[in-house]
Amino acid sequence: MLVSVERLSQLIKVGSCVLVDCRFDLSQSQKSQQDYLDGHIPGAIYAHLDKHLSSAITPQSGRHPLPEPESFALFLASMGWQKDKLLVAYDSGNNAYSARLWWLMRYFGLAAALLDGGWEAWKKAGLPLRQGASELKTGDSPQLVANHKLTVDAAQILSQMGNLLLLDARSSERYSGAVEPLDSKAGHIPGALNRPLGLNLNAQGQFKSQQQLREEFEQLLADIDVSKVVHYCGSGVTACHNAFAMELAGYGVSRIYPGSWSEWIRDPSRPIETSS
Amino acid sequence: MIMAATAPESDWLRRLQAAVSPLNSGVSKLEIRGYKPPGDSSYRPRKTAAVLVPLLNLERPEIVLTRRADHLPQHAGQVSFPGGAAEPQDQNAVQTALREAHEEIGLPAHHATPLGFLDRLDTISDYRVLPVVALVQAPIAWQLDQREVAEVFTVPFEHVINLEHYENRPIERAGISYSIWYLQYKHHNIWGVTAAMLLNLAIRYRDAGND
Repeated sequence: MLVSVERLSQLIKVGSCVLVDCRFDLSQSQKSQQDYLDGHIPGAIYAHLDKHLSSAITPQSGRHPLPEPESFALFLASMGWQKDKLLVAYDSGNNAYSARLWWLMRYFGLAAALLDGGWEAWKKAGLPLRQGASELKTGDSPQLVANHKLTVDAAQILSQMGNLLLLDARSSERYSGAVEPLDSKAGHIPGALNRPLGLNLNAQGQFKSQQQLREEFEQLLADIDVSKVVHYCGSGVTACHNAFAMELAGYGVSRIYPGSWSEWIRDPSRPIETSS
Repeated sequence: MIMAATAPESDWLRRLQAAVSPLNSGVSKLEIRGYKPPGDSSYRPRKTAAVLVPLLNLERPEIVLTRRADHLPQHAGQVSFPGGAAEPQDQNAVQTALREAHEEIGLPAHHATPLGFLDRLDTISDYRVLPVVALVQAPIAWQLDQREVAEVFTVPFEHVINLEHYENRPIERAGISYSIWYLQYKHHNIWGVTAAMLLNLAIRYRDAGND
């Protein structure tokens, strides 16, 4: 699930991975593509959150609806994905966007890994970089089927409220409703607990140890069954980070609500909660 | 919702507001980082201090730092934020930070809009330090208290939030190894508690930009 820079370096040498650069900046959606052109890990293909890891926004949807199986399969083929190669994703710093790709792969029945420490770790290790656009590649275009058992929608949340444990991956400031930099309403889904994604990482931006993550999630979940856990966030991106961390901690698969807060508030009849 | 007293509100400011902990949420929820004596889990520094993390409200914002006077008994010549120990007349940490910034670099309190807190940091010198992030209206005619401050300078916010710029190195003191953060900007060598606070700001800012 997690590869170190040393391991990735080996995988690149023997040509047994497909590498994806998921860096993204929500406030400047073109910036990271330029950053990619300025320098990336050799062989990496750029994945754009809005274009490749999401489908188009609708009046009912959140900010990053899940991509359709067909378009995601085409994207995999265009970046040279092959089923016998390990897909390794990275982004800048906290792996929030690469975790979305990891989760999408999982959703479509495929495997992926994250680069621990991301782009910063690679650069700090002094390993080679490459500039410019990537060569065109052709890979396998798999028949993808979405696994809807991994997702929960707003109607299910409403009907099963009290029977699900919602974990909100946004910052405690957005969760509490004290500030809201992106959405028109502030707060969280009633009953949700807060687990800001930054808690999954150490100061170097690497994932905490399996044991430490396990202890933290055990404390948060108390005796609640993991099958009741549903992750959400602003738009179904950082929710994947908590899902990844829980899986790393040995919990197996937990579900996400892909629409998340930005979809939830589209319907004013859905309840919201604030706290200070 | 907290809105800063500036218009129009820029992207970086909205994101910064989501990155810091709101003033009204109190300090008890803030994590405690920094120095921990080996084997002593109940450690709690005896003294309380606050520092101001001043951010000049420019199109490309800058962080204000000071270099401490060379003749001081503690932390001589080191880069730090304006700040100091809480005094009896201070009603809260925000007041401590603003008072110290006024005393040390002549920052008028009405030029500063406090935005929120960063995580608390324990120092080896027996302080628990609370950083208060404040938006400052530039320009300011700095007036240095030369007994304490040798120089005031700014570092671009862009430089501070780039996590590639931080380095972690161990140092040894009395046979015990401590992990120290470093941030270099031009000839300024920012390290220790100040670098750790800036790193905390950078990490919070990074995570606040996610969705």
